[in-house]
Amino acid sequence: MLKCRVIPVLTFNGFALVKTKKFARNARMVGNPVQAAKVYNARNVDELVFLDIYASDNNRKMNLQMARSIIKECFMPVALGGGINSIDDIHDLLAIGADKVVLKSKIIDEPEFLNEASNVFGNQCISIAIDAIKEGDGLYYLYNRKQKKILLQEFLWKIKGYSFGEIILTSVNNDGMMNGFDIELVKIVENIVTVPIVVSGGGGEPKHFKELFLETNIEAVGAASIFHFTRYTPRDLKLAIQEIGRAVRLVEKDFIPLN
Amino acid sequence: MGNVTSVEKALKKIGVSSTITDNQDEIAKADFIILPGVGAFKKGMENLQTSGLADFLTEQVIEKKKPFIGICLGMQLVASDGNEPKPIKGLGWIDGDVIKIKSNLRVPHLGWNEVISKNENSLFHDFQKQDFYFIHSYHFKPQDPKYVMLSVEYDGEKVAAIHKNNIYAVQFHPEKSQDFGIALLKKILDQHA
Amino acid sequence: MEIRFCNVCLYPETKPDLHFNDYGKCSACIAASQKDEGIDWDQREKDFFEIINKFKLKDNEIGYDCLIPVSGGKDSTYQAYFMKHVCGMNPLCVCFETTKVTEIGQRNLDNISKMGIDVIHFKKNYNAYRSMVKEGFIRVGDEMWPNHIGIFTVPIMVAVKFNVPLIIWGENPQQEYGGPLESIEKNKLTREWLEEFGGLLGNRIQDMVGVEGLTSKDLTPYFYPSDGDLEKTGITSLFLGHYFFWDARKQLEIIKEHGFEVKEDGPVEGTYTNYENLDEQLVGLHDYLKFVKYGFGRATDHVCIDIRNKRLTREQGLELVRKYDGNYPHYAVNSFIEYSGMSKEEIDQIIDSYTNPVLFELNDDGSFARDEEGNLVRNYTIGG
Repeated sequence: MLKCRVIPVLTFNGFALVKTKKFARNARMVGNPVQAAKVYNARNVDELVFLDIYASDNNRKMNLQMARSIIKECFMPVALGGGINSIDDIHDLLAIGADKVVLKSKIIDEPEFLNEASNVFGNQCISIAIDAIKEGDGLYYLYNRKQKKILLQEFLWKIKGYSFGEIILTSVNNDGMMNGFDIELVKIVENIVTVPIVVSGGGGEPKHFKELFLETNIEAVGAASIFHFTRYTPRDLKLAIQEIGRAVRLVEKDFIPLN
Repeated sequence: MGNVTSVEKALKKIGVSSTITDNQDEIAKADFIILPGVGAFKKGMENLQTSGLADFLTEQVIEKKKPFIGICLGMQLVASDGNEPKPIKGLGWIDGDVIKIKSNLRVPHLGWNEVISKNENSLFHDFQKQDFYFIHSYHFKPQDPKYVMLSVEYDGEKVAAIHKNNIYAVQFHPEKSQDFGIALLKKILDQHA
Repeated sequence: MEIRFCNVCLYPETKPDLHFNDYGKCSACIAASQKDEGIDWDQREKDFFEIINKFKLKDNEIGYDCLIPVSGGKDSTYQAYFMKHVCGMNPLCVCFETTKVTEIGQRNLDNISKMGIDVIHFKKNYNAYRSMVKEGFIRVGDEMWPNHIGIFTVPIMVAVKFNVPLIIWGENPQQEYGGPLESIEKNKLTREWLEEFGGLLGNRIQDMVGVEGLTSKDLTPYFYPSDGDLEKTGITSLFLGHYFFWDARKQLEIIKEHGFEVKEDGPVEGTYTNYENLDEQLVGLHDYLKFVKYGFGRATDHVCIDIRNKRLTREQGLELVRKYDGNYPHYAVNSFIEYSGMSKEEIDQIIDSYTNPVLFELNDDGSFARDEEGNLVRNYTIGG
């Protein structure tokens, strides 16, 4: 049976690990990404996502040296994203050992790039990041820094026709707030797309994760703040998810007391 | 193409030195051939054909009986017939089709899933019930089920590992499946040490 | 590489949890200004005595009415002195000893009992702790990792077992060293505070189970007491620095009169001061790791405090940082070789793995460039 995945998401600003709240620009400095990778590898996490969140804004590429040092520590699948613009960019990242790449800015205007990339690399390596923001009118829009007003559902229906492996869905409103996931958003998206979805944004304690897996049919969740700033580890979240009857992968060797 | 760096890294962890190459002389000198793969069947076969590796590998593996491990696409290419995106011939070492996963479940089959042993005498048997990492939209159906060592449940049983003489192939990614994946690689390599 | 520095002190933007306001002033300096102007210290002092008087034992009672975690360092020595001799409480001090105690650190620790106070000196399982020291170094680039946990969990465990609910800590590091502004308002040290600001670098005690065969039992004192136990005992952890204006140098002068010794033969490795971090032989390594990760070390920390306390100008600070920050810690590394059994090559390799390739110059072959003294070459300008 396919296991539900709990995936730490590392966000990078070009030289250090940071954490945003509601995608605001003044991200909180967290520290060194290599040690985060080592910790997560020691924890046998299901996967790792590593994103250079200001790459596109600053017109640059992911620092390959840094990416290489992170992948070196990981014996689980790693997805890299940030500033990917061309087939060569994807090739460079896969060549240093990434398993998947995450596209975002490029596909807003050029969704056909997805087919181009999938043809060369296979759609399994191509993930797309969809950041959704709920505006005052109660509707969801695709968050972007190009000042474009794009209704989320419209975008999803459009993108559905192209070839890619997975969606990383993040709620901008709940990002970094640790007050629960945007269940309404998840339900909208999971009813439209047929590829696997990783839901992210708002996970602050185990009960949020229970709620997510109970009220939706999601099979994967991403989290960051909870691991940086609280007592909870991915294992705690998996135990919580298991408690409500969903299958997770637990690599248990020794007894560990309740957290 | 393909996630060769990860395989090299995993091999290094178990003390096995490897070279990433498409050079026929180097391949001829190797004790073991590993073909990892991430990508489309058609592109994969085209790459092998144009580089002359398709025939060369067939010679090495089928005639010279060199031990071989195929991973993910590397396993699917071993088949006689592929379909991604259109019908196309594979390496033909094991008869069978590679077909698209058609399901109400989400595709690709992506994530950790536990394997089921189909042959208690195989070296794969010890790994039953362990989770390995899968990421694929197509799956391989060998014509003769006796070559299937492990299967995985995803809207019906799908082939997870096959073994025919000196050919080992897995649909999942052992180089990405942490301890058990690395242990499996080691076990296969130890067979021909 | 352009790195932004605070306009007032010398903290760089690479420092975890630091942030800048619209005028380029860092959160540590903002907190310091609040210290000087924005806080009613008289009221805070009143609040403090109101709280501790609830716990203070009467003249005809025996027992301990507060617990003070101590290390032998100047801060905790001051806390002990203050609670006993100024507030008239009857403290129990609990020492979770440092990794490799220095001679002067040991004397300063002994001095606390000579100030007329009972001290429980927790002698930890050497093997378990050492396994964690090595793993902390390898996994998160901090050989002091288990110490960050132990100095919090052990005193609290003792407080629960001895039923001493009031625990007095020193400065709020987020206040003195600049964390998110919300954290500065936190007057209590809770479990949540430890997880967020305790310097655990994303690693948790559960992650140490299985390392070199360690079991949960081996790690008993490092698991935080349960929420239930904390509530039952009524644990109340206060930062002294929240209620009283924290001035480290002034406090140092006071405790020197009560037997506290400073290093007479030169500054502590990694900085220019001779009265901080005296107790730990390995502190230079910990500080150097901080430097290679973030581009600033302990000298910067001390310079910034002195700038904020108006003892140095920014220019004077710059000179001290240039001279003392980021020098390879030979003394600490030699101590660490002895303690861990790792070779210098292994140790240097780990240090390199944590060195930020964006902050320091690289040679053509990808290795880090070093100057004639063997130190890294910054590719940013200190001070911005």
